[in-house]
Amino acid sequence: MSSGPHVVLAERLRRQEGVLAQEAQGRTVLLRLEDGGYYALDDVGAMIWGMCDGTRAVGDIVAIMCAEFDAPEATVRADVLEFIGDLRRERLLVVDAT
Amino acid sequence: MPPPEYDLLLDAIVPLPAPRVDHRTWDSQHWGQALAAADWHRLSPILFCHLEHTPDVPAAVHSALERAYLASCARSLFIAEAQGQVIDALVADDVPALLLKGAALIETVYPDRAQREMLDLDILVPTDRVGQATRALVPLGYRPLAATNGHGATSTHLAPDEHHAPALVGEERLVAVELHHHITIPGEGNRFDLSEMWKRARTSPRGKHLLPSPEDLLLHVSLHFTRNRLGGSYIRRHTGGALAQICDIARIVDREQVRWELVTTSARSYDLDTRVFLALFAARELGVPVPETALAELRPPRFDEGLGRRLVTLRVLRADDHLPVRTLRWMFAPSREVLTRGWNADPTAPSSLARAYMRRAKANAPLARSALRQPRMFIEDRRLNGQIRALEDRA
Repeated sequence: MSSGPHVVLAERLRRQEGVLAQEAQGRTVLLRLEDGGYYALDDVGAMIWGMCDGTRAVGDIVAIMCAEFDAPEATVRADVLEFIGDLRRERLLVVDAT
Repeated sequence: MPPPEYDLLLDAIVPLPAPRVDHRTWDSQHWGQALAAADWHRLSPILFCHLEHTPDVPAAVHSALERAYLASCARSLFIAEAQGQVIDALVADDVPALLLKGAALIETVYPDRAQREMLDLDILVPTDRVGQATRALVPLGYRPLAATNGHGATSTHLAPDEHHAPALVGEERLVAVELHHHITIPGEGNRFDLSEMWKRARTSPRGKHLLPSPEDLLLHVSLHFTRNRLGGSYIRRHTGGALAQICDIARIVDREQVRWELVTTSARSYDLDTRVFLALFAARELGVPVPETALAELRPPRFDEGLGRRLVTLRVLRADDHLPVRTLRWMFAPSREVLTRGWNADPTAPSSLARAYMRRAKANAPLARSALRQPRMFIEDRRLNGQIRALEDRA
């Protein structure tokens, strides 16, 4: 996927209404009911998706991923921001305004 | 002896202690045939699961199967969502709903729902509640899809002897709901009362709907297998999905506590014994452990095992069209009723009947051409049709 909309570290994101998720053979499949579009996430993507539940800021997710993976913080942050931007662009995640 | 691609599909659905085939030496042509056969038989998702952790599978094959698996997963999610809404609407209107076919199988014998490709949602409702059930789904956006024969002739009426109402299609046109009021079609069984099936039904742990008992599930899947293999109409003439239906039977036999005596008793009392037998015989031929005693109970008089094996060869382990099980008269001189019901002819107007005849002939022309290109297969198919018909007549 190409880079998505600008993502702010302080924002909390949650799943878009009408998006269903299911684990299948080690992947997580997301289905957008509105038009039947679907996506498959690998285990890292699924981990980030699982944390986008409206309770954590993007910066918190980056910190958790840094702790999980032995990689430079800048690299992890860039990857997470790009991935979350893609999910927003595909109307799978929205900013939680509550 | 089946072609190697079929051995691979059988390994995926009815594994043996030792694999039937060693695919490590296959070239791209072999793999291409395997992918085509898996697609035709609606087994791509299950083949993906079978091969996922197997070495020596070409990346392109793995990728094609993965795409099919993920698409099936997404579709099953979509259908599950629609199913929940449909069941809620029916229950709210006090209409009992009993899932059939794929929807019932996914809840009972396919823990990974993506492995079972689903085309539509089949729900049995009491005969006198079909109209009420149809109306209950209108607020969800479901409308009757004009019953079409695929060549422009349409009909939206529910004939009294059809086993389900015209499919209802949601506004997004992605899911079709078929409300059944019976499990047989004209010419199958003795139009038995379904009250016993309703009594035997199980309550689904997942919702407010019902599921067929293991025996009724097996009986219905077997009946469907034989109906599709015999090709009661020109639409259902092909072998598509045959092995997926064998897989359904294998899963029921493996994962349900089937009371075989109830299967055989029901099949006999419904006058469905030959049809159920043919399905179970084919399944056993392909490795499904169907008890010999159950087969013996259902075996039609003077059944010839060679005939059963020809059915497997010509109608299961094959990926193309075959001729419908009909007489030459049916093919070339259809009755007025066939033209009226299937092709929207006005039975009182000769010109309308003539136009319907021409539409039907045009629609069947590709099948006839295809059959005539393979004269040996044509003759074998015709012989098989006649032999099965005679078998049913004798039974």
